[in-house]
Amino acid sequence: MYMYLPVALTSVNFLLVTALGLTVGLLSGLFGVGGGFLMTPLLMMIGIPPTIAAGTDANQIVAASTSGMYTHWRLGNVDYKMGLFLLLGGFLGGLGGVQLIKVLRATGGADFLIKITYVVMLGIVGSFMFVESLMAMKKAKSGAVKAEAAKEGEKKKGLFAKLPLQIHFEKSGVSFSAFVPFGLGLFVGVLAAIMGVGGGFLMVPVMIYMLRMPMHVVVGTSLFQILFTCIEVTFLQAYYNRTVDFLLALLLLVGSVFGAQIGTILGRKLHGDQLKILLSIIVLVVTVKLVFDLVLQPANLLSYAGGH
Amino acid sequence: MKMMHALIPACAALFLVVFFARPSAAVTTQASPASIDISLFYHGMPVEISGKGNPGDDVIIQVTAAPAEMHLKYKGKAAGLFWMKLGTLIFEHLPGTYLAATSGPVDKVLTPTAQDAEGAGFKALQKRAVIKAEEGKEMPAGDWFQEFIDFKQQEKLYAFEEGGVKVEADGSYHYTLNWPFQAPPGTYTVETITARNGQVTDRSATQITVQMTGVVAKLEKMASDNRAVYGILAILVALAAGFGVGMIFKKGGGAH
Repeated sequence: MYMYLPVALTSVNFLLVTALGLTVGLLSGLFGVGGGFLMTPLLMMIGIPPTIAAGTDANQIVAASTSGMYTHWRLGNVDYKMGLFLLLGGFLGGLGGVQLIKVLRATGGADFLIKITYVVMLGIVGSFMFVESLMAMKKAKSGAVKAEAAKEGEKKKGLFAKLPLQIHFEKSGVSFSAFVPFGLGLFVGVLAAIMGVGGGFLMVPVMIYMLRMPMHVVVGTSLFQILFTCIEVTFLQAYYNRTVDFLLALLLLVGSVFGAQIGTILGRKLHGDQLKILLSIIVLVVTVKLVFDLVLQPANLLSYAGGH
Repeated sequence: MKMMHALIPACAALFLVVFFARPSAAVTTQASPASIDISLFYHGMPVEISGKGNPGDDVIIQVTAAPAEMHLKYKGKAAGLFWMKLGTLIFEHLPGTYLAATSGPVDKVLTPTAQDAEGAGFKALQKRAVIKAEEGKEMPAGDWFQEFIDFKQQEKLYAFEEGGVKVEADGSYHYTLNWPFQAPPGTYTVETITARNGQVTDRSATQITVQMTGVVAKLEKMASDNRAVYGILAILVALAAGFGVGMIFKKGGGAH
């Protein structure tokens, strides 16, 4: 039942860890998020040091996103062109965000900024998705949703139409300047680096609401972008920080690759708005938990360095 | 001659004190197992600590890792509302691991002075501890030693069990220590102290070595010595697992 982890220097119940991997993998396949914002705190709760939890999580997301992306690729749900622009922006934004954190750490304001950014971004994204999906579900019954969506799409297009390098993204059925996904990727990359997460839960709403991509293409494309981000993060964490525990990642990925498949299959049976509302509820629950963690006095005031 | 008369009884008294105060046999300490292997399915294990002391003596057993400087983050209120990590505290002259047990209440087994001298119990450790803030920062208000003890107890690396050691009439003693899996690899000192009337009468020590073996040791070595290979291997295994399971589920998939 127990397995010793050579880098984390602790012993864990491998059934519990595999179940965690299955649950987060399911979310990954269902919503196109890496699940880092959920998995890292869960791993810390079972006694994994924060830095190892974050590093190893990136490793297991490589497996879950490969598994989910493979299925979405076969279903024709990955917009590689869009994904590449987002990835490029995200990569550069991540580098910028890391530098920003370095400067803030030197001035002593990093932890405050990280926590507040986390709560505010999760709160805004969760609330917006929840309200929007709820309204869309109500309007869908009256048949008014398509006309309104088309109208909003036109408005967005009008704002971005003046930018150079206009490209048509066939898979998503939208046309934008290359600077739009690149810029949004850059923005998410900066925030993801500040918060220490992959950024899937931010990228997904950006693709849905700002790029107006269809929900199923959003999930596949998000997984594509997350896969490459987490490959880079896994290598850097293992090489520079020695914070990837291979055995822990193995236990997690055994669960997450199956979870991602189940999530993908389940996702095909659910309507886009149902998926959005489910994701928004999860994001809001995590936000409430973070707010409680911030406001209530912790049981112990000491901890090891690293983590949030 | 007068002086000789005075010296003889004094020497005799000294001889009697030394003779009777000295233990009839030196205290012994054994730990079984003395070597703990961390293998793949390791989850800590019971360690039997036993030996022979002097009949009627109390026993104190202390298992410690060498004192090391520990840097821990402390939380406090930021902006008067949010609990956050505000800085680092440095703890000195405290062992990284402290697992101790006595044959009775520590205040009956040892006098306060003897407790302090032996570092027996948390109260004695507190007197040795040096706690300071990182350079350039003010020491925050709070009972940081108690916070440290709570933190270490939560980690299972500090424990103090009064009355846990069983002592027989012939002076032999026995204690079962549930060795925590959280204790990192290294060498630990097991010291047995015997006491009578609050004063230390004898002591002996042995060591417990904890080391990784098999696949756990190989992975740890690779993660430390061949970081690039380790990172690439972790990525390749994750990619293979992802694609592998994706292909298994292929039949269950299908297009829109």
